[in-house]
Amino acid sequence: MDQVLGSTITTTPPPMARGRWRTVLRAVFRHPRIVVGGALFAVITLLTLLAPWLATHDPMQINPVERLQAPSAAHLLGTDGLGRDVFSRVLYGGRVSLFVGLSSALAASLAGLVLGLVSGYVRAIDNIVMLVMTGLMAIPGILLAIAFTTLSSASVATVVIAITIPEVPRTARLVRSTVLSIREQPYVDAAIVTGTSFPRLLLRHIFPNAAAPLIVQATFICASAIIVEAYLSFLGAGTPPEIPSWGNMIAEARNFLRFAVWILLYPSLLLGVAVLSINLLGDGLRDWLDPRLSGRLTEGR
Amino acid sequence: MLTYIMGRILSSIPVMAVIAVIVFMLLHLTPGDPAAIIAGDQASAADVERIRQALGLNRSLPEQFITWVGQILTGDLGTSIYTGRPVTELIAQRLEPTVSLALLTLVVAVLVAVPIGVIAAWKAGTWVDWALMFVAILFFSIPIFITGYFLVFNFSIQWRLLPVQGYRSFSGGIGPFLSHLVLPAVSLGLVYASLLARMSRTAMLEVLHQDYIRTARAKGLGSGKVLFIHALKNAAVPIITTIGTGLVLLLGGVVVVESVFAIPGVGRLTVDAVLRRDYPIIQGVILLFSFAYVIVNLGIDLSYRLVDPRIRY
Amino acid sequence: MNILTGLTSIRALLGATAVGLCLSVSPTVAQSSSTIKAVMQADLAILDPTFTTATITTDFGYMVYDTLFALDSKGEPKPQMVDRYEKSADLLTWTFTLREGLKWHDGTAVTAADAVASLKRWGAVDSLGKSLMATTEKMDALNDKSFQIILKKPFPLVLEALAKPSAYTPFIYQKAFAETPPSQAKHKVVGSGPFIFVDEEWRPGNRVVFRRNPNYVSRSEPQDGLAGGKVAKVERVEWIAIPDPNTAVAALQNGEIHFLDNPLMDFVPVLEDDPDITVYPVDKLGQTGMIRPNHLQKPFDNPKARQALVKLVKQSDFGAAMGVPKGHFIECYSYLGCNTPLENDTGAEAAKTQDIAEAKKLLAEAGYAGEKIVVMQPTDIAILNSSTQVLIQNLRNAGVNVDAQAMDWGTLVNRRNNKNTPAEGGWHLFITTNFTSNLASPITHSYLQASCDAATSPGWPCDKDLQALTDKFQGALSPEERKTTAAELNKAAYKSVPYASFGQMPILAAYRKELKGVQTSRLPVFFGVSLEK
Repeated sequence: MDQVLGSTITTTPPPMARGRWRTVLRAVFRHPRIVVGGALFAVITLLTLLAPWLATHDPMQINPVERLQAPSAAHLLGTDGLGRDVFSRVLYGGRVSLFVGLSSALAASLAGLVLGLVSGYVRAIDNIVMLVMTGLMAIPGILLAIAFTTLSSASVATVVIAITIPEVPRTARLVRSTVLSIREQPYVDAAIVTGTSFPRLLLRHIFPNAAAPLIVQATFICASAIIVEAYLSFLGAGTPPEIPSWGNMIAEARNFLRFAVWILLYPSLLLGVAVLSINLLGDGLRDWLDPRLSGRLTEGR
Repeated sequence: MLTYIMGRILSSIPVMAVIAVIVFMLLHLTPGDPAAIIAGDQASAADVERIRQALGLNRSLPEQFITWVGQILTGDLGTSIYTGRPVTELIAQRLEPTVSLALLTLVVAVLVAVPIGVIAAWKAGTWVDWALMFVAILFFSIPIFITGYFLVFNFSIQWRLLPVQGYRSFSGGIGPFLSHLVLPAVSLGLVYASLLARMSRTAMLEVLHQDYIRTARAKGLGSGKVLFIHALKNAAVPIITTIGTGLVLLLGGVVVVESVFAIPGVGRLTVDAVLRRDYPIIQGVILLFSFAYVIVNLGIDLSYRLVDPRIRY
Repeated sequence: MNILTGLTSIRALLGATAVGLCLSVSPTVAQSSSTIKAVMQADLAILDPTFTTATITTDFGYMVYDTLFALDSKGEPKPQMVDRYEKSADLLTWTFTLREGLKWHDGTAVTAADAVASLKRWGAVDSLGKSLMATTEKMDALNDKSFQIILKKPFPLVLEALAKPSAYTPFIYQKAFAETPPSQAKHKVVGSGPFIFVDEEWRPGNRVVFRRNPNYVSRSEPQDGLAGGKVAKVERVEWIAIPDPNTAVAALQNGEIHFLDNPLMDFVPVLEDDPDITVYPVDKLGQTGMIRPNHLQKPFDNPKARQALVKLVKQSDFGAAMGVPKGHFIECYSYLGCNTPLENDTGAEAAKTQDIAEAKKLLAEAGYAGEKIVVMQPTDIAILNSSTQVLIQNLRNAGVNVDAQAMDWGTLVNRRNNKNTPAEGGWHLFITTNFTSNLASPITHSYLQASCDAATSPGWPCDKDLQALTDKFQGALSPEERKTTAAELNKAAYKSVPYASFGQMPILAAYRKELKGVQTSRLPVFFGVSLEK
């Protein structure tokens, strides 16, 4: 990998890269996915965060007279079936979609961390927790999520919970296997023998080791949560229709696909780019953080 | 070895039991009285009571669970509240399209994705790898229904090559069977193939850096031979594992694809049931899909020996 | 093990279907050219047309059952199963004689006793039927073919009632079935109509199959609306469920289906552009949109709050939001419908201009002080969803604290029957549409009934003055009296506001050029329709 990328880089060497900067840049250019993914994601996040200042219209304001207008100066990305401004909705919708993605990733990581730690540390309940996780993994996530959202009242929180539950088994397993492998290290064993407290053990040894794979996993959960939110909206079990999200914008726009493609195009595009950037970021982070793989990669060629 | 196989089969029983508990609890953890929710607001107190009786909700929770499990063990998934028909019958009517769609997607996706993953790994770090993985992530990022509409618009409406919707049974001839399944299988397959291709690449990369591969190369064996005979054989186990665990994604996607292409399969049955709060159907389908997943993965687990003779039981 | 039982059931079903086909249908069944494939406006779920007013179940009724009278294309009731009828000079005794040769699908003859039992069943649930039954002294079969209705006092709409086309059509059932209470439970369907329901091929959520009734004896007159001859010209009709509106339109364009009921309004121009497809109005008068407040709950128990609704509405906004194609939308300020004989806009002057400030003032006068107002929003029916969104926006503009609750239409239909406070599962507002033809007479107009009794339509208006005017129509009035009463009624209705109208729009369907003989007949029917290559 180095070799190839090295050759492209040397043709245009970073001019002022010295010292510390040089190290960072080198690390970054060795993993261009992190750069590209991270930059794209940052841009999108910034756009949605700045929504109140960038938006030209109230994203909820219905204006039937101006419905289905093509992009113009008045409506940068056109209007939708109810005459709402697509540009403003895409910006505000991104907030909801990214919120769903990030909070699902966070919630699944935290739940996985707790379950994985408990399960990896307390042998007595390890079997039971893992059994439940195995069972949960077998249930198709979308089915579980639509069943859950239709039974509870529609809200963003419900959607987040519905998306999070099916993801927990993977994070829990990940944390547990890290805990187990660390427990076998002699120095950890020694630490336990010398009476290191559990919180200390957790902070000093387990957490640093579990963090890397967990972060990678969290990026993938974040990306998939954003898509699943769209699927739930498509199936009529997603974010309530009055709160714009990329998912329910796409779901609503599908009926106008044949004559007002912009309503579908822009939220899809942003959703696509967001998911793509998060996946790239995740892939890059995995290559970077997973010492096994990257070690072999550099060694291999 | 026989004891191992028996052990694996036995060990999947508690997993299925856990699934049954989760599916059972899903109904009972929901806020409010499930009987009243199911009966709807129009229902009289007597209607609610009748449904409560029919669902056995008037008994204690463990008692209900035992009865329910007893029913499942005899192949009885209960009766649909909305149509009044046995859930097994309703699922049976819908099984063929779903199984056909899932299998076709699986086969096509594996045939496309694994070679792509292998090539990407072989060319790791080059523009080929980049392009292939970019496309893989791209297709993974587009919701299935968008791909579906796009394909329908071009292949069916513009070029009039393929039908828009519906399902034709295999017994009615392979031509119509395939022509009705091509677009749904492609829409669904792109997502699944993207996942598989990425996983195959990772698995292959690990193998390619093993010593014996380098030895083989050093010995001057042809690239193709090294790749597809030595390396792929050794990467087979993780790839097959991904195929198995990816089934969950596939079965979830089936629900969406069946709605877009009006395929009368189990997925559509579930979506309709969810909208009507027809709980026995939802329970039945989730149970069936999850058990299918467990059984398939059990089979995959046991088949490792076939692809990798180093594994001994 | 459930998979195993599943597989055996599949085999059993396939076997049963094959046997059923071989035994019961003429050999032409295999030819797809004699099968009309249609996508209807909803999936058929309930088979009993006296249990539900769902349009799809009424459509089903017209396939398999028959009616005593039926409306022709001009809206006049004409005999259908009835051969001849006599009314006494005092208009109190009506004698009906059934046509010769009418047979049930099981081969037995249709009798007058069947008709009497069916009318009683219908008379217990339908609003017009209840009025008729309330004025009926007795109703008896005289012999196998004739029956008599003896009235206490003249009832002006006897034939109109027997020909009522929708929202509880008096279909004629077998006596044994007619004596069971209306229910959503599945039952064996034995009709006497031009098509036979093929029960063993019914797949809820997927497909409903009918085959031609070879023993149906049609009237000799040509078909005219729902009246006249009802000749099944194809061997089979299949109703296919395609839940995705995009896919349904694409399937029609690609020739995979022949008929598409109720396409999304936005697709109408696309379909009109397609040379192979014709878009036609299923019903001449179309449908009227209604915002229905709950008259039992604050603030809408106060007429001022309901008048505020009228002031909030700009009908053209609703039309635009629903995507009704230009030229198809009618702004209508007549509670008795537009293009109807009794159309008038008396007392509606103030309603014609939107005035948010005035609405705000009226709401305040009604004692509204920012409480949560529950609006039920059906997300699965496009025109109702978008019009509800416009309503919500208008309410918010007037400072109303709206609690929009998204749900599917089926849930809404259940929930709207809940009379409790919104906190206890009740509601304040919902939007629906109704056939304008039902609105044309105060007697058939169920949303205008304000009788204060518990059985009126959800919303339960209670206004003695308004109801008095409606009741006045029950007496035999001269055409002039009807006109003046209709004007008084419109005025009273705009004062009381049983509901706020948001315009009149067409009910459309589209079909491919291979279909011949499709008529504007109020409901999509498949008798008289043939399929040509």
